[in-house]
Amino acid sequence: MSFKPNFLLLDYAIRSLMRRFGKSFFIFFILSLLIFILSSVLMIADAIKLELNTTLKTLPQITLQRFIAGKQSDVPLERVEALLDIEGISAVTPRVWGYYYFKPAGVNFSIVGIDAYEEQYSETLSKLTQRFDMKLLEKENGMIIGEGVKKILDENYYSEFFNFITSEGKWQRVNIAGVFHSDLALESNDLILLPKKLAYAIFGMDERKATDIIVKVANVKEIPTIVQKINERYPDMRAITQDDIRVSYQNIFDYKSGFFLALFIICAFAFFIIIYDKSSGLSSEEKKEIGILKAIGWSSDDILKEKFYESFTLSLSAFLLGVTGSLFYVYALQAPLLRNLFMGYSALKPSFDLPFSLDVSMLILLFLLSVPIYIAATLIPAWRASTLDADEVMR
Amino acid sequence: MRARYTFFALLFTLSVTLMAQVIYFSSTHFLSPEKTASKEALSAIVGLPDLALVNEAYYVRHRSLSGVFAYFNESPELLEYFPSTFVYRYAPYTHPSRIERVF
Amino acid sequence: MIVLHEVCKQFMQGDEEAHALKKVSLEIKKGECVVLKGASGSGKSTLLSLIAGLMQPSSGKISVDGKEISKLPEYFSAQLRRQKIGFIFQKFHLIPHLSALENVIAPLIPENLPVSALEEKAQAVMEQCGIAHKAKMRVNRLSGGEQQRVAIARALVNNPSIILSDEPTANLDETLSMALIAEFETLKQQGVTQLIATHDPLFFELPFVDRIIEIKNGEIIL
Repeated sequence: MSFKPNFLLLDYAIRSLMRRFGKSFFIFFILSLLIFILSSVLMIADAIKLELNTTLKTLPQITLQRFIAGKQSDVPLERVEALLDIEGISAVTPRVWGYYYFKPAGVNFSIVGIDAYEEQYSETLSKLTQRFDMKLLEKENGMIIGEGVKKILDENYYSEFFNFITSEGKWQRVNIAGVFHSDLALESNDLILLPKKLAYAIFGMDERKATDIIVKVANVKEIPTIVQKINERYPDMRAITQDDIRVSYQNIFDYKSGFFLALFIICAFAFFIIIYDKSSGLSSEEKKEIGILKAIGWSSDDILKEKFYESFTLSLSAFLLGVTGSLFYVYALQAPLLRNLFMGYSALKPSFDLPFSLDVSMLILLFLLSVPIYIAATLIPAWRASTLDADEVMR
Repeated sequence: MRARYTFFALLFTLSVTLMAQVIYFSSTHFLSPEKTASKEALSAIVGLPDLALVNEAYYVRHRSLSGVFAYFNESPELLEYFPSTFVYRYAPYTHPSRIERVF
Repeated sequence: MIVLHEVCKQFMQGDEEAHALKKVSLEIKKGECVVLKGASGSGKSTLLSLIAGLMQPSSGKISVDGKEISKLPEYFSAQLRRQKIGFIFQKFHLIPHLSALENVIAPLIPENLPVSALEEKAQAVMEQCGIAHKAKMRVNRLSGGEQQRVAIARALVNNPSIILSDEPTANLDETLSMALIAEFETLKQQGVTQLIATHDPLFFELPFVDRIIEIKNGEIIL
């Protein structure tokens, strides 16, 4: 037997598909749709994970939070000094951050207080922002905001400054010193960076306390030991290490629960309905055709080859169309409708401009889970029909 | 007898479109070293994890730093209320096992 | 040359065994034109199907051109049908949604020959059968006579050395039947071995028919 492809057989197979156009097109459409949805969702998940992992190593090594009665509470600043006594810790920094609810738009801004704009920050900040007014910052009366915040403020007629309402009900005017670049939208869309003093005033927090504490260690391998020491010293504090965050990034899209499980179950269900229908046998017309072909000189091999060509062309085309469509959908169109699942429904959403990430192993897995199974589902009943006596089938 | 040409044309078009898209998007949406550097710089200044994709529920916005109580802040039965909580799994250490209860 | 030696074929009909052929022995020489005469249900179609390798005998031996085909593996029996045998079925058994040309080419598709050669061959045969002008038309839109001619063209396209016909004139009027008989005569002149199973009396007095074999209840009556 030669391995030269039989193009006439391929022609016959394609014509055979065209003859049953309605059914073939329906299966093609459903297969493409399933692959399109699955690969779009998996691409988005991969891209978000890539984005998250990009900045992982710059996050604090240890973040300490204080819990009273199971609820997060502010940390007294005395603990900062006390923690420096622990061997292995090289730096302890208190942080002030939280959320500010802007009622007119119904959105939360994330506010982070930083030490008044020192020299070390100014160069970096000027690179990260679109326009940067150093003077406003120096006066300790300026803030740097994300693009989403700018948009919301513009919509509410705040273009150069914003009036925060503090916890005491007073207005705190803060000027807009800069807006973060659109490249940083995914990280900074709802962010407001301001001097710590202003943050304290807006939150109405006690200036002797901090929201949490970040700890830097001299030797990364000692982090678990140091966490243990901190827990012994302050049992009411929870430590979140960089490794914990890394693990939580890996598990962010858990395939065993939630959306992904629901999606996979529905897709598997739809796919198996098609397979069941295909493998439950050929129609009498198709059986008769196989009988006639056998009678005029086709062997079972030839019939199976033809059925293989049929199912392969259909499933391969569906796969390619699904993947091509999903690439365009995710990266060119920014996944309308689907992105709402990943972005919630607040008015403060970043542009869904994800970094390009193509996991070839995911595509191969999708291919193997669809094409060979569909081919098998087509070949099995064809094989059963081709083993019958041609004579019997034709009658 | 020309059905195969139509098929090959379709296959070729799809493959070329796919390749072209991969090349185009990998160049336009590529996370270049400059972009990575600026993201890292921002992250170093701010120090907070997670992306600003979900804003309305702060236990999803800063998912990695959430306290357990934050989930139930709205109402106990609202854990799966937002589509986002249906998509993003909570950080594992925020739901310690019942036996350990280590915070 | 077709040789049958004590060939039996039984079918299961519900719980009972039906004997379609009982110890049939027969020899047909190369180039001979033999008419198989018998009523419906006498076993003519079964005999033709066995010679074509469409089914295997329950017992006995069948050989075609010196090769025993009774226990031939399916692949080789299909090859035999493709290369040596042309079968004209009673109900034509054309593939309805294919065009006439596609039906005629169908037996040769597994041979993996170049397209142009196949099309040329098919066109020539269709012209010979007078159906070339309907080459592109779907067979389910052709008349009975036209379908018959497509079926004949299909049987001839592979230049077979043996033609088996099962009730070839059953669905034809007299004019078409005479045209078909003329075709058979041409084939006889070309030296093609023919076995025609029929109960049409038109065939019983044809000058080019070498022999008439009568079959009744699965047995040959001499």
